[in-house]
Amino acid sequence: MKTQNSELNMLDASLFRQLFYWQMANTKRFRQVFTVVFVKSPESPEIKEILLEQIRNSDLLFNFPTGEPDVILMANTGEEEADVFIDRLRGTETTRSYRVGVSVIEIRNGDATLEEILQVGNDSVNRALQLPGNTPYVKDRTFRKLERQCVRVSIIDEDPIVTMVIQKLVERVYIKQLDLDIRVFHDGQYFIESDWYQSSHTHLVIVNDILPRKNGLEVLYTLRELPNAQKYHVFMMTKRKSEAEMIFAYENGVDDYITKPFNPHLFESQIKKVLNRIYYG
Amino acid sequence: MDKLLVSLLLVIMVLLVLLFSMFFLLVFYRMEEVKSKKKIKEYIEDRKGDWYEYLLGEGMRIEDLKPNGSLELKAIDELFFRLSYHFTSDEINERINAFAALYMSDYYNKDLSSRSSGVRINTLNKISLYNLTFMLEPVSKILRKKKVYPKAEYLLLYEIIIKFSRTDFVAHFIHPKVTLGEFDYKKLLLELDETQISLLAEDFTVLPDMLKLTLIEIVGVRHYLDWLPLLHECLDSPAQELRIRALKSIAELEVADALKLYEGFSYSDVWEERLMTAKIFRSAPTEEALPVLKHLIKDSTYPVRAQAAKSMKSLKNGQQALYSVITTSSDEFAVDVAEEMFGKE
Repeated sequence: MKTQNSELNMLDASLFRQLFYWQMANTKRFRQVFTVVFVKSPESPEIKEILLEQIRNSDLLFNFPTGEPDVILMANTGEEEADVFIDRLRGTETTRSYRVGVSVIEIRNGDATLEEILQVGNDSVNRALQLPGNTPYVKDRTFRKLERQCVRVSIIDEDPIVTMVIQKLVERVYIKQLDLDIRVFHDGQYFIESDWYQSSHTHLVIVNDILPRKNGLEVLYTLRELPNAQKYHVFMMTKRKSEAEMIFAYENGVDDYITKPFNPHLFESQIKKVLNRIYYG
Repeated sequence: MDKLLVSLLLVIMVLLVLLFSMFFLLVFYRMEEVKSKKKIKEYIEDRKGDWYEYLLGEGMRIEDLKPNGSLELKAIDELFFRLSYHFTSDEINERINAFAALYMSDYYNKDLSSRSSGVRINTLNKISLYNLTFMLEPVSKILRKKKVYPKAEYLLLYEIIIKFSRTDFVAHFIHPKVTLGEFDYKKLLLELDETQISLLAEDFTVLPDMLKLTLIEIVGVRHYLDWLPLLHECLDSPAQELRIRALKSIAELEVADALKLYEGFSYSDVWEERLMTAKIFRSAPTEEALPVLKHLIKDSTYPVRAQAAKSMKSLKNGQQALYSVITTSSDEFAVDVAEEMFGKE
């Protein structure tokens, strides 16, 4: 499992703070999940060698002073993958005579602070040690709950009836912890001139291909030229059903191509699917 | 002289009065039109939320949307059109139909009996677009009238009959009120489902010739295998075009059934029949297809030779057969077409 450079995976406890914040920034911006594992063995200080043998090359072990639990930072890792580490640690029970308490904390919530996590980790690893067995463990899910997120939705169509129906359909979509900020535009130029789309929010753009002043494709080109273009999910509504036109639209950055007339309930489901994917990753 | 001048002035005066009255009349009509458009826009703006609730939500009763006056009817009609242009669902169709049946029956009937052909055509298009099934009877009534309408209107009327009635269209198809061309029939037949097509087939012998031809072609396009016996019957028809179309549809069906029946057409005097036979044999087993295709590759007509070479190439071990034509055939045209087929690779 481990390479000869396994000692490189062990870092001083003083570095934990910086690496934790770095990981947390990714969680906040890109919704990347990571796991922090607290390991405590009051009876043996050699546990660090065992841990180094069992962690993956991508995991980092932080060497905390004796008496405090050691901490493993597992980047881009969820609780299920951390279970594999626990299984491997259980496999060492035959080679050791002492108990090892483990606490697994999966972090999805970008608002969690280092102090809160350390506090929960310490408490839960102590709780684990009160359980029977040689490798008792606890999974604490305090930080699995996602923080509230705001998604901006722009509806761009000339016809007020269409924008009203789409707005009502989007408003009907309910996703826990997700706030939708909806705005309607009746032409492409007005949308481009507004600073509405230039925020850091994830942005759903529902645009008709034919619009006054600036058409849907021009709006699309403007969005795709921005440095953070991937935060825009573009739905393009159109009457054009030909294969060539669809290929052209997809190749130029459309995420979903909706041909008119479309079923409103189906459209609502598509919006829900996209929002779920944005939120849960 | 003075008298003449006075009369001339009078005429000019009368003309001027007439011109001004016409001008004011036009201005008045235009103002009325602008006013009614504004009112329609206001109605849509005010009530669009209620209509959303009625058509897609649960919070609005049909009675609460009862129209007051002709302007509101026009506004609702426009709203239906704009909604149907962008959205479609069984739920929306049903609710539009229910509302229109209750409050707009007279409105559409009036437009349907308008003297203007444009208004009637627009109304027919809307009946079809909104799926106003309750309008089937008034539409059928128009078809029973002796009055002759433009062909475009008849096509729309037939389209509506096909859409709203599973069976009534057959009688109209057997005796259309106006002569329909192949393109018109194709447009109409593409609206039919398989059951309706089968219904039409029951009266195949009494159908107009052009309809027969189109129907036979649709069978091939839609791959209706159950129709093969009818296609075989058509092969015995004295009508040359019907035989050609039947062979074409058999080729589209890609069946290797009754090969002996088709084989005879490889000696037909009509080159189109030989061409279609060459096409049919691309789906036959190699041993049965080769003798026929080897004969057809020497045909006097280029399209037949080219199709025979193409069919030969698509057979199992067809490439070898084609190569043997190049090396052994004494017919230079057959060799040419076989070489051409290799060149296309």
